[in-house]
Amino acid sequence: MRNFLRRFAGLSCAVASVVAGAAAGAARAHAQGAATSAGDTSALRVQAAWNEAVAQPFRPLLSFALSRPLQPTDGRLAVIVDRSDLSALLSVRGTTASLSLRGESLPDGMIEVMVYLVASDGIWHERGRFALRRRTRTGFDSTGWQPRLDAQSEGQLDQSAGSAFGSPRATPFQDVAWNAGLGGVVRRGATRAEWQSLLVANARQPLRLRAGQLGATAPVVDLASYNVQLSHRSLALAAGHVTVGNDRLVASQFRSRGLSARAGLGRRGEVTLASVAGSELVGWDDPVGLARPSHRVQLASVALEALPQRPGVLRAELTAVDGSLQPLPSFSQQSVTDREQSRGFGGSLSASLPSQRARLALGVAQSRFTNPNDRLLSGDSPIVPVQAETRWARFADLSVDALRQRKLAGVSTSLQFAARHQHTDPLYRSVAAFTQADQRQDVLEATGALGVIQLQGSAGNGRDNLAEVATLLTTRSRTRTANVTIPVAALFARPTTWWLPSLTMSWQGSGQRGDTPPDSAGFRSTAQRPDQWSTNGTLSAGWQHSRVQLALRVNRSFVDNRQAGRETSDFRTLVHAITLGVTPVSTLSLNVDLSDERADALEQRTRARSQRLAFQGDWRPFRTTSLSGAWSAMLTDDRAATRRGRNDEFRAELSQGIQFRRGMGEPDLRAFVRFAQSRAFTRFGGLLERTAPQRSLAAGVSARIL
Amino acid sequence: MTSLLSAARAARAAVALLMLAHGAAAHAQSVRPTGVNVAAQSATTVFLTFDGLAPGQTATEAFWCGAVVSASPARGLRCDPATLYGRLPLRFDLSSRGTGTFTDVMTIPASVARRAYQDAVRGRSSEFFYVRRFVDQRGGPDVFVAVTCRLTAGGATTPLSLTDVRIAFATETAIPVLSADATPPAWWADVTYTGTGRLVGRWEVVRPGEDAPTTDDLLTEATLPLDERATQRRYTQIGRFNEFLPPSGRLRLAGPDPTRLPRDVDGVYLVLLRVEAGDDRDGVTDPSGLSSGPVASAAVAGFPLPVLRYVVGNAAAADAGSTTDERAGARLRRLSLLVPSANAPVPPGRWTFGWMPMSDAAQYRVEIGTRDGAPVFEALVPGESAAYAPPPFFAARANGAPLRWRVRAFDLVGREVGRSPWRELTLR
Repeated sequence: MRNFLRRFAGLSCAVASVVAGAAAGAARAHAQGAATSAGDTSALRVQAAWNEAVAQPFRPLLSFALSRPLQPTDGRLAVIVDRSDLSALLSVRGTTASLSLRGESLPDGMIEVMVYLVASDGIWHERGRFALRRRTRTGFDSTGWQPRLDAQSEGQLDQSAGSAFGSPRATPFQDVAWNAGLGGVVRRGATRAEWQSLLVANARQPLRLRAGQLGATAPVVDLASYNVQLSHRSLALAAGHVTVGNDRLVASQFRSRGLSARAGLGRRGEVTLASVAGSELVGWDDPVGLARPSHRVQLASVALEALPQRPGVLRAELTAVDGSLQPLPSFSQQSVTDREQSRGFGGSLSASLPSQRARLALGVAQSRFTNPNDRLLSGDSPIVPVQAETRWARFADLSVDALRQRKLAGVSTSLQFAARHQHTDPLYRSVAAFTQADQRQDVLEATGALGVIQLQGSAGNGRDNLAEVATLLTTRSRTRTANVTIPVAALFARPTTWWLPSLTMSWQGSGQRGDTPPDSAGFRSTAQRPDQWSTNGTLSAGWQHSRVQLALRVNRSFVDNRQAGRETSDFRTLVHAITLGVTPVSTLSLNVDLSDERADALEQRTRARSQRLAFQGDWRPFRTTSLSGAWSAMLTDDRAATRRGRNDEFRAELSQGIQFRRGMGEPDLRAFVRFAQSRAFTRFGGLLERTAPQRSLAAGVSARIL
Repeated sequence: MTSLLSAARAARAAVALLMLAHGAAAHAQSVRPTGVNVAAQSATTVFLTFDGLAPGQTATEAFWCGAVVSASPARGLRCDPATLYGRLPLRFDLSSRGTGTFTDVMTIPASVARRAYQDAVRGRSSEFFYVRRFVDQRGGPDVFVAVTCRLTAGGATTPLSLTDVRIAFATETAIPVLSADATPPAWWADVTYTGTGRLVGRWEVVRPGEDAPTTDDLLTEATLPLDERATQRRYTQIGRFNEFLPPSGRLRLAGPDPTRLPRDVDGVYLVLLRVEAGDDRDGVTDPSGLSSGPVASAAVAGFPLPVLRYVVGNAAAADAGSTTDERAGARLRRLSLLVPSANAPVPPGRWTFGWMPMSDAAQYRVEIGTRDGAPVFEALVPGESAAYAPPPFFAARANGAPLRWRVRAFDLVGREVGRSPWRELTLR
């Protein structure tokens, strides 16, 4: 379409020029011949002789059809392919111009070919712009490979550790590590394959990828991640690290390693099938993620658009999940794990007005869940089995735009109301989604904009013990929130005035109160029953100058315990934080952090206080030289806890890059040396005990081989 | 149902009497807290301190159960074998013996709370027990010490504990490869917790060449015994947080400004979430009866916190073909550039590149790129010419980036025979 418009515009100009020329020379019959002899460049038109929609050979011969032979007075034709002026390869014969791309280094896939007429005065006149889809040398429309291999040797030349840091650490060490990856993409017609991978290797056991899980048996070279995607028209297959599930109650953005397949149904929707490991894996042991049936999640979903011509106006989605988990958390996750098994389905319906002024989302799910026997939990003793239970959950979200950028008293105003409801049965659980069971939440929310001022407020109530179990405590909760954002500079129509800050204020109140507990719930005093209201407010201000950034944050929270016997057991916390960043020149940056945190226990009349000051700087005196340093000190006054009373840290690092190959953005080789020191005063009760400082001197070199 | 409730009341009264009766017998050992509110629908972790241990007494297994009975002839109350919910799995056993004290991290899996809940639905008492057994190596009687767990919503009055922590970058891959110059992606920690209070701590980074953190280093401070809390190794701090956790059970804790992630040296970096012991009232062990004094133990976790990794290296691999060409270029004859001079601003309309011709050159290639290596424009020029005037729009393709240029010469069969060094180009 764009090409068409461009061509149409060019043609229009040409026609307009011709018409204008013809009108001007209507009285002079000889003018037409004179115009040609004078080199009327606007009259020359150029068309591509190849089909732009079809992929051309790897070494195509590009031919152009000219509307008339090129005259000496026209100037010369120039052809630019992608970012290369290849006019030197162009030959013009009569009304045909041709250019052979044999041997030219050009990117694969879709590139642009531009034809210009360069007048004798040096002015370039565009005569055509064409798409060229070129297959690769291997026959694909496009290919791309991205291998990478980096190697490092790093270690500590010297170190000392005081008693405060436990047993002295290992003697100085030197480590050898490397990481490698291969990424790529090939495409031909409607078929596309894409892959990427990362391998990491480390000679030292504690630094190996799975040292935390496998200990001494962690392999030296390990597979950190990989992903392969294959697509043909509306069918897509993926293997490796994938994210599946779009139902908040049964499978919500579940990240893991496995296989997934998605088939589009045109505008009508799509079908998805997936089978993945029960948690995100790394390593070689289970490359596809499906080796253990007891740690696997299988999912199928169908999404349908009721009005394909208006996507999103009415959409239904059905998801079924069958999964079983071993007590194995994901690679970058730790949790209190269990053996779990669930099978369920969820259905959701989303609808909106064509104008999007009102939107509705409804969802319901059923899940049958149980905890299979876990030998690590039961040991050799018979334990009370968990009964499998089928439970339900549901939600409903409604939002309405009451005002959409309406002018009120000359101010652009928007206002949106939303209502949310969620109900999850007791013991409801699906292995592929996070839900809080035995909860009912109802929230009303208003969001608005008054000019540049953004406002938001909400009120919500909830409760648990939805099954009204007679021996359980019922707890009712409520939340209130308010948020305001004011860009003061924009408010006063002075967006370039740096000293006018951007302000953000937020406040949240939340409370929980237990009903009178039943006798058999185990509560022996009213102080054990929840009855608390807490507030949390934050004020942030930010200033942004070309070379200076300043941020200020004040946060205050107050916990008001209200149960009998603990009325005065309240807590107040106040946090001040300032961050200043200065970039006096592009090669130097400095940061200062200052914070003061106070926590008051009002009943005990005690205060815990932490103050921190930190400086950090980076200087790049030369392009490949970097000098960075940081110093921080923290003072903690908290006699109720055993913590470091004082702590100061210093670190300085010099790194130098060496560039062997030209044209590379980053150095091929980089060496560094780093010194770090940490000192602490540890508080034991009321005493501060000084501990020996910890020092280390580390150095290393890294190389980018590919 | 009424009879079940009556039975539950009777059982509770019996347990209370038993606990009173055995309180004196087990007085040599006490535990704080003696009873805690725990989440009915999810996991809970509680820091426990057992005091008054005699020399030779060692802790063995710990069980959860729905009812306790007299442990006679041993001391205290032991679990009723018919109501066992499970034993503390080894993977969560972070107990530690100190001088006269024993600190225990009671991590209650959700499946144990589920068993207690299902028993409560059947009409039994909703409280259940955690019983730790101590064996006297000198031949004295075993001692069983019980802690009462009360099922609640897991919010206010429940100790602040972390039950699920997941750290992730805002990327598709679990371990992203970052380049030194590009802005790193944001990252966060999704934290599921019980209780309410302040989550205080630091974001730290382990750089290449530094010792890896040990398992103890990765525990939250409150999970460690008192005398080990100050011994955790510290790394480069890149941010601090002090956030209020409402009693809602879940929080996304955003990482600090991503540009603070160190990227000056290639290698694997570890991002650590370090959580300090909080002062929340429900997490502070009651000082009465304990020789160690008050213990701040809010934000306890029954597992080492996860580590987030990233790799600094060649994120955008260079074009291998041109890299080979660069290496080959060192063996070529040097081609001399004429105009424009280095750093001499070239006014618009006078963009003409000139160089010294080479006798065997059949074709020249003029290459213009940014100074960090990205190609911008190039042109083929017939060998009989030694100058090139680029189209006026080539400067716009540079988007204001500092430029450089060079010329390469090729013979009739396409072999490269000469090459100029790069020269900086300044456009006015």
